[in-house]
Amino acid sequence: MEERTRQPSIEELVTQHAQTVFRYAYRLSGSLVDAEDLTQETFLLAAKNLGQLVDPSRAQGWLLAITRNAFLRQRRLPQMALLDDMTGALDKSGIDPDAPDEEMIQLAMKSLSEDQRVMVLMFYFEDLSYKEIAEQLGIPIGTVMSRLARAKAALRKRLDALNKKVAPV
Amino acid sequence: MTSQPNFPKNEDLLESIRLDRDDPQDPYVQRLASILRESPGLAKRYADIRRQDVETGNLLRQGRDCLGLEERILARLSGSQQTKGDSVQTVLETPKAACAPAELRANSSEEVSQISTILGPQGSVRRRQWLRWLIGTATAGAVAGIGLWAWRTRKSTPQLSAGEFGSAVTELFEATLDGFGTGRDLAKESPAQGYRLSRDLRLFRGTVVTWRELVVLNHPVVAFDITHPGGEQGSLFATRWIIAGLPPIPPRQPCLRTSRSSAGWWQDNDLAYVLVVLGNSRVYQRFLTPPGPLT
Repeated sequence: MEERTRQPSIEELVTQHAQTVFRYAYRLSGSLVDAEDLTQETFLLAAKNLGQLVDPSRAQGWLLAITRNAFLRQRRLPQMALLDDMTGALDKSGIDPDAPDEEMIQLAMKSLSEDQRVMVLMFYFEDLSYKEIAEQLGIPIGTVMSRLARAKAALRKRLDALNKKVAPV
Repeated sequence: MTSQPNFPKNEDLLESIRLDRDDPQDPYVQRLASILRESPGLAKRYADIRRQDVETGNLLRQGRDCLGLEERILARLSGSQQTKGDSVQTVLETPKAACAPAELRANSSEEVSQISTILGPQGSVRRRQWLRWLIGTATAGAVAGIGLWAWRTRKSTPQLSAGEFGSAVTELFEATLDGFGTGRDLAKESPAQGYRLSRDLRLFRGTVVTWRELVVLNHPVVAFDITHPGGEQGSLFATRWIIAGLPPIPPRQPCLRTSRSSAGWWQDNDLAYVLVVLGNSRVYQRFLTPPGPLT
């Protein structure tokens, strides 16, 4: 007799995935404040649409997709421009030589466009294939590949520049 | 020889395909495999890319945890469920976020509006916060105005008001922005005489703090210049001075806002603090630890 996988409750999803969603949201938005807003919004939306989670073993991917879509919707709103303005101070602020690599990569992520950031996170964080990215974003595979290659190159370039900037003299 | 037309550039294939996870039957995957077999140079480059991919992926997935996040989400979820199931407007004090402001963004997308609707109690909280801010700002503005007038007419005052002190520090902050971040590294050296960062400040991994010694209204002041990983900048001014009227904890909303900065002030034992940040009240709040959960 085939046993159906039990649908997790929203509380279980929060307990198991909140921190992962938060880290994803932080990489996406570049701000801890926005990351928590986004995380809370993700779970509120998940609670409303729990019935759409057809395969509980893919709950994390489902939640990250909700986060990504919420981010893309929010980013279209003009009020978010302020945050972008604030991040403009990055280059002036100097870089902490003791900053861990994960912070360095956050700085590098901020230098990417939003589309590039989304693409990079779908590839690295969500571990989606080019085919899955194309399906989810509704764009041709060739476009995904060229955008992904450009985004990865831009990320590497920025990371190299940051590493040079903090290298001991 | 392949008959497949319109393959992307080799570079795009190298960057996009993971031979160890993607479908080996996929024509793009087969194309890349064939290219790598034919070109040892590209095969080496591909190995480098994949190695970097693994490192980058690991770095991106790492990161800080947000303390108390689960509790706050569950509190909001239970609040929304209560409101949906019961038309009575329960005033729910949602625990303030440690990593985000409690308030939802207004004018958001349709779905966000729906969330705002089911989170009716948040509206009450926001209204009260707004009223508190309005009263606080009006009071602070009046106090600051009187304080400034008193300061300019008397120059030196034994009985300094909170607003006078805060306004003077804010003026100093804006006047000395060129010196921001040029002081000594707090990680390597602490200021003398027990000047310390307030426990109410929120610091992240990667936050850079330097400190400078200044003089405000003939009093020695230590300015801690803080730069968050996101680039937001603010200074915490500390002075050993007990000033009547300073609240014991930092106000959640700035007491004073100028076209460039936002400032709030409070007293912690014998130290008077003024936090001045470049930006609006949202930026100001990001420099402060939020109140703990209300449980």
